[in-house]
Amino acid sequence: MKYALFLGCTIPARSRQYELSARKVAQKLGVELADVEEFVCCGFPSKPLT
Amino acid sequence: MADIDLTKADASFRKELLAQPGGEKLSACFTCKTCTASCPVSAVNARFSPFRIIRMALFGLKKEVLESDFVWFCSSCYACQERCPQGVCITDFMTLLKNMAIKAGHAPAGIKAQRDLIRGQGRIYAIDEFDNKKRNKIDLPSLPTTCEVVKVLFPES
Repeated sequence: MKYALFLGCTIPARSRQYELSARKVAQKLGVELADVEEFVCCGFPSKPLT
Repeated sequence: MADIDLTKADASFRKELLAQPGGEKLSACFTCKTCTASCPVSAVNARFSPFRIIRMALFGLKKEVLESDFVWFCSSCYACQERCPQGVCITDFMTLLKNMAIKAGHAPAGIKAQRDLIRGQGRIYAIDEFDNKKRNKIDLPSLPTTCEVVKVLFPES
């Protein structure tokens, strides 16, 4: 199984523990994760304003 | 709020709104104020009132609505839209007004700053070499510090 991993901007910069645990769990479950360079912003910090 | 001068109203604003997603059912509003009564922002700040914004828009007060800062107080919680007995998509209407305000050049400084951040680096929380160093320390891969494709979404204005 290969899945694309969407990190957004907050997790890789501010909440790295989520990313770390997600990657470790995926590895244990045999899920291969693909990093997509263009997966950068979900707009969350601006969400309440848009 | 000061008295409203309807002689300066723009009658075409109403048609403009009704033709766009979020504004279609606007004329169904019968001013019951359920939206304002449901609004958590109105509860703490009387300057913000969804029903008044709808009324002002329907009267054609384009300049007052788009240039005011109170449109930006909406937290997009959808409480008003859920409860509107007339099925007016109030939260979607607020989004429409915000989009129109940005197009007219009236975005607040904070929004402009976030747009420039995303246009520049692709992210609001930018990743730099320092962040990548910290990521590598806990065995996370380095991430690119810029994103060219995002610029397509933000033509220079």
